[in-house]
Amino acid sequence: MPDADKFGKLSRRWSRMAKKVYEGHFDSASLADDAMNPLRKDIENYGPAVLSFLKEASFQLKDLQRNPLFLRNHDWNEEDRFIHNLASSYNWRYRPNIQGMNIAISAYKSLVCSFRNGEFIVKDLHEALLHYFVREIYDSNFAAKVILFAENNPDMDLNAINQKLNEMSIFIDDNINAIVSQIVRKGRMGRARRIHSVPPKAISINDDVLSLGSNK
Amino acid sequence: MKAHEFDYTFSFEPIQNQSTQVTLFTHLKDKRDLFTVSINDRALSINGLSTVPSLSADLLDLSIAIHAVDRLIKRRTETPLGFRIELPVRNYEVFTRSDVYDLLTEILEWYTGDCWHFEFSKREALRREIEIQSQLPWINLPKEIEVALWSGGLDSLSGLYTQLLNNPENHHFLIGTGSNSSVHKKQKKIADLIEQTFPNRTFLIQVPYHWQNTPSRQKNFNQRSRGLVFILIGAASAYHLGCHSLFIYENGIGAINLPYTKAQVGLDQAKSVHPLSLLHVSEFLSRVLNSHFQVNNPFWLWTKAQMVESMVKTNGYDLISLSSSCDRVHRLDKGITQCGVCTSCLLRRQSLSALGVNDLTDYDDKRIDKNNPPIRAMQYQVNRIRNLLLQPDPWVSLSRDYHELDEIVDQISLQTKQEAAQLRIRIIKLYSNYVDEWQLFEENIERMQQAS
Repeated sequence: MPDADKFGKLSRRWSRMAKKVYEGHFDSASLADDAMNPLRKDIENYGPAVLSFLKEASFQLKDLQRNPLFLRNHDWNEEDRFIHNLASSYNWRYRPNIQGMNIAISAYKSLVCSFRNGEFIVKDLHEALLHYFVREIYDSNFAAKVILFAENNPDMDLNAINQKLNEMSIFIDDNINAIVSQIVRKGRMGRARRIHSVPPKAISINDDVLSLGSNK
Repeated sequence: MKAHEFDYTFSFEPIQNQSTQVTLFTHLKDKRDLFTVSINDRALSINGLSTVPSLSADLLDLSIAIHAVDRLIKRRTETPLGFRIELPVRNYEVFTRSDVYDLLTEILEWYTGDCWHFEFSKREALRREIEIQSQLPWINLPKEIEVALWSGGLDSLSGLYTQLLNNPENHHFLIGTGSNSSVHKKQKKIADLIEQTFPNRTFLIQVPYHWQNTPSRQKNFNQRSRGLVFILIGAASAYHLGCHSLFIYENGIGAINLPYTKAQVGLDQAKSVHPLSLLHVSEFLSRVLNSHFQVNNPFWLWTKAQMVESMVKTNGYDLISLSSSCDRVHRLDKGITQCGVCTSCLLRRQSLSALGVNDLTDYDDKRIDKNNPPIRAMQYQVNRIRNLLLQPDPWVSLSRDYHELDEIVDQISLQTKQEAAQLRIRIIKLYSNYVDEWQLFEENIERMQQAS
């Protein structure tokens, strides 16, 4: 049937990262730093309309943040209608990147879900939404595909890859905070630059190879 | 949006049974192509049924137009495309009403992610044959009629089989459509065999359509509107038969079609018969027909194995291998048309494996390589769902990872007044059954691999 489900491939900019994860001997903090470059490029590629969409969407959530006691009786259909209508108006006006918009919609729904499940979002909603957005880009364009396409290397240990991704996660979130601050400050994604760079460590004969891959 | 801001304009002449001219403007290239479409809806006038209502005929035309657009455009960019469609309709005042028009374009955007704009005009041309035949009411028209889409797939077969067993008074009109003649043959072959098993209770109506002289550009194989097109054709037929509902038989896992991994976003997953798609289309059809019309999937909370079970337990087992499930467009040697390794083939194999029956289907690849992306993705999803179901509050966990489940419950409970809490329990049960069935499938795969 022509309406089959699609499995996206790792883009070229993420493939190098994937290779490093598969190799297994890079430490998690430096891998998380390496991820920032492709992540920024993805955001740039999605274009300013998607970022502006997220900003506009965040205004809708202010009432949820202000009135947590009324959430039990909230009409959640309203949130779905709002985000789909807003997305539709952006599609007509700006023809934004489809994948970027889909990830942005998903980020909005994740944040709505957090409210719905009683989580208190204390930080600025625009920042919170951007954080969900950037994190979903990372998960969608990289983390989920790394696992799916690991079969290219028959000797790959999936548990080790999963563990590495889990270890990277906290560093990724820290780095995303920096990206989000930049977007909020400038209103756009700036030039792709490393946030802070840990130079790759060359392995010497004197290194304790068992400690390689640890977070230290 | 102004005309020059659209990517494509499709200008349809009044659609006839014979070749009807369509002009396609590709605005970016300032290019003009001509091709033809035709619809063979004569099957709707057999058996002495009355003439086809003009609203049904309009819905048929609309569906053909939508499919032609979605099929013949070239999707190069990563941005939504803009389509302008000029289509003559009989009920101009209905289709230009703002509530009908807005719903139509919203539904198309929901299915395809693109921007659709229609320029309807009053159809002045001669009516099609089905509209002008003299009225000869069918004297023996059965009282209990169910009109259902008929694809020739395992879900439509097992759904029909289950309905025939469970409702012995019911008669079923099966609506087959599409532009592929080999699929039409398969639909007919299986319908004939069903007719032998349940004499005089099923009637196949096929409404094929065709394109000729289409531009030689690469076709769009990612036709997300396909489900909608078939539903509109089915609904037009059901309305003609005096029914205000159309049945679709599809298992819940396939219908909801949750993303396998986070790598899949938006329309990477088809929404052909998604519960929300059916709600939206039902609303649109109710507005067009000016009376309540429901597109109904009675199996949306069943797994595929549960649907097929009735066939296995009775005499339907031999029919299973004749049906198709494959996603891939290919014609293989020796009549084998199913790959065996796409997600749809795997779900089929999983369902039969869970029922413990020997799968006699001819697959191109009978092996199951656990490293192939489709099975890896499905396995990943099953493990994820299994883990979520084990959490203290399975619904909160499930809906946090799969937001669409909350949307389904919210909208279905709003529109059908079903209890949200009950719906949640039933959805949890659906996925619990599914992961349990996968466990059996995994064990069978292990056994197969050890044996080989």
